Amino acid sequence: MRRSMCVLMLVLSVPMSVQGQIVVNDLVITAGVAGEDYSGNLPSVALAVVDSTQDASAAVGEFSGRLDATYFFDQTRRLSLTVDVGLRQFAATGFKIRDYAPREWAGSVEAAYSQTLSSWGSLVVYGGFKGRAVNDRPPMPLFLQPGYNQYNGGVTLGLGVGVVRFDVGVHGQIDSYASLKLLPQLDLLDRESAGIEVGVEVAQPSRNWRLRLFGAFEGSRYPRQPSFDAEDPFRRDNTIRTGARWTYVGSVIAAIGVEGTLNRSNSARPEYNAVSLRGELTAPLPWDMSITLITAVTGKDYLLETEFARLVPGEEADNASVAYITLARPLAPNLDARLRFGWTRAETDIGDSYYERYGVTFLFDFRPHL
Amino acid sequence: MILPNAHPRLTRTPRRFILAVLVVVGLCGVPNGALHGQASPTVAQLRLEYREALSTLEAAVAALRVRESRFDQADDEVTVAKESGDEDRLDRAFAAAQAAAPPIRVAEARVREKNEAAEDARARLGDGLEAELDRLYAGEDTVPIEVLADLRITIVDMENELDEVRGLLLGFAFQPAILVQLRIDPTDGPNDILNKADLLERRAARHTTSISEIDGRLEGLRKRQRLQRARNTALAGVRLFDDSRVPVGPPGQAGSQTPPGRVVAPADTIEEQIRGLEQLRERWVERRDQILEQAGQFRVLAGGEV
Repeated sequence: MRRSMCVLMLVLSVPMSVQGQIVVNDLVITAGVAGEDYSGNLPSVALAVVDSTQDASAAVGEFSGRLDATYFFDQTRRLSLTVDVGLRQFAATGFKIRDYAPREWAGSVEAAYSQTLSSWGSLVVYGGFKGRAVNDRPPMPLFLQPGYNQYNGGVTLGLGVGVVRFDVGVHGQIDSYASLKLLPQLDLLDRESAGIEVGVEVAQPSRNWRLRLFGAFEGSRYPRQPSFDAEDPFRRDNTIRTGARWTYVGSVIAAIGVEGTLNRSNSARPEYNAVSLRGELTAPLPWDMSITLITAVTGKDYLLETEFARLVPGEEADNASVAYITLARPLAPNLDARLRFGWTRAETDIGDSYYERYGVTFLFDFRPHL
Repeated sequence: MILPNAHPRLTRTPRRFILAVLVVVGLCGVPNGALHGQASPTVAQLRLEYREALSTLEAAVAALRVRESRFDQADDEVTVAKESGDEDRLDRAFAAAQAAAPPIRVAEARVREKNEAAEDARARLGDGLEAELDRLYAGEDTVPIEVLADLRITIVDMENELDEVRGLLLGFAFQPAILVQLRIDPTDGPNDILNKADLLERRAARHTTSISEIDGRLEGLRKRQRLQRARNTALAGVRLFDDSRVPVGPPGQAGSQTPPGRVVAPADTIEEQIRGLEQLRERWVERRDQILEQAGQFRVLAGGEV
């Protein structure tokens, strides 16, 4: 993570005079503070410590940076780069045993090389890294995702016929969780996967919308997770996903997506069907303000109900609902202020048990290149 | 001695001519005298370099004219599409004009570059000719009297060439086709000139309308850019720390609702669209100003009315 921060600082030091070939689409440095409240004391096998409190709260300081840039080789070839890095420091109170001060480092780098093959086709080769680390991870109900490193890459071929565009791609991904001595079970989630995805997109440029339908098949293996089958000892999953996403970019920006998942495994325990619905809306408001609404709702049904706890909330929990509302207003040409309200309700390890999180965050976004 | 196979004319070559050639060759300090202008190979080489530079420049100018012609066609199509009221057609026409504008910049840059190269070659040729003339002037006092007249002819010829080279003005005005077509004819009267000024001003007004259209589009795109940035920042803020992650699979799994690699087609980003329109606007403003300036000059010539 610190390395990612160094990369960002290095990129920031590149003079903007190189914009003849490198176009900085966006460069934003964000700093802010938040107050958050958590409730629902649930047991979790993914946490090393347990506390008996039902409610906890935290003051949070946040600092992050984001770079979105494109390097143009020529009119048909380009390299897009997106770098996100961030640090969040919590000062948590309300616990019985002690107060916690968790610190989250998170970062991601995504690069995509794209080339127009002719008037009808394009090729995209992409790769990325995402990682996070958490120090002093607190007990429930202040749930923070565990640390992990993730590497992914793939190739996508796009073929356009009029307003219809087909795409087919192959991809691979490696997830490596950062386990602790006291919490070796996180390693069970280490995962290697590969898959294929096909999609078709219909665009109506004059109406400003497009609709993409997709289907994907993915094979995963969990080299550290037993399947409880002596002949096939480690867990292997096959996953089918299918869904649609409608996007509108006009006087407002809106997106609605639905996705269904069928996960089958050589281990009966993680077999499930799930559906998720996502919505995003950004609209202008009076006084130069804008509002962004982000929502996600999921439903999940395990084929085999178990009496014991699931592994890690966030992956193998049941249902979750997430909603964020952000109000933004420019204070200067290169400085925006944001007020964000966040709400999460998620089922953790034990079925029908939920924890909730409310948060209010006040942020400043500084764009030095404007 | 007369060689049996020698050309008969060689046998009749006047002694005076041979002497002149030998003197000029001697002055130039090289074994073979050039036939034209009696110049040294260095000057001959400089002449070749200059001609080559001119030829490259002409090719670059021709390429620029082709690109300007394409832009003119796209420009006309914008006007026709606007008059037709067909928004899709207007969008396509703007896209075509937008695509036609940047190659002109590239071609203009190439013409400038080749023009500079030709200027350099011209300056080097001028210097070479001057140096050559200095040597020939020095030879005037030393050559035999019978070849002095030929040497002076050579000097005069080279002096004329030097005057031409020094006096030649290169450089190309990047004028729109209408300015090339609408020139004042010696037979034009004041009314003819005023009519031409009217025509130019009508064309400029057309460009002004197109510029206003672009300004409207740019304003819309900038608003969309602000929205897009607000959205991207809001999404990135919750995704970075996994706050929006829902429990339907491992983090960042494939099969998400966004195409893998985020980009299926290298479509223009809003930033690129803005940049393209700004370039197109710049081109139209430049043309309009050139045309208006010409129209103003025509009115002055027609009798002082501006």
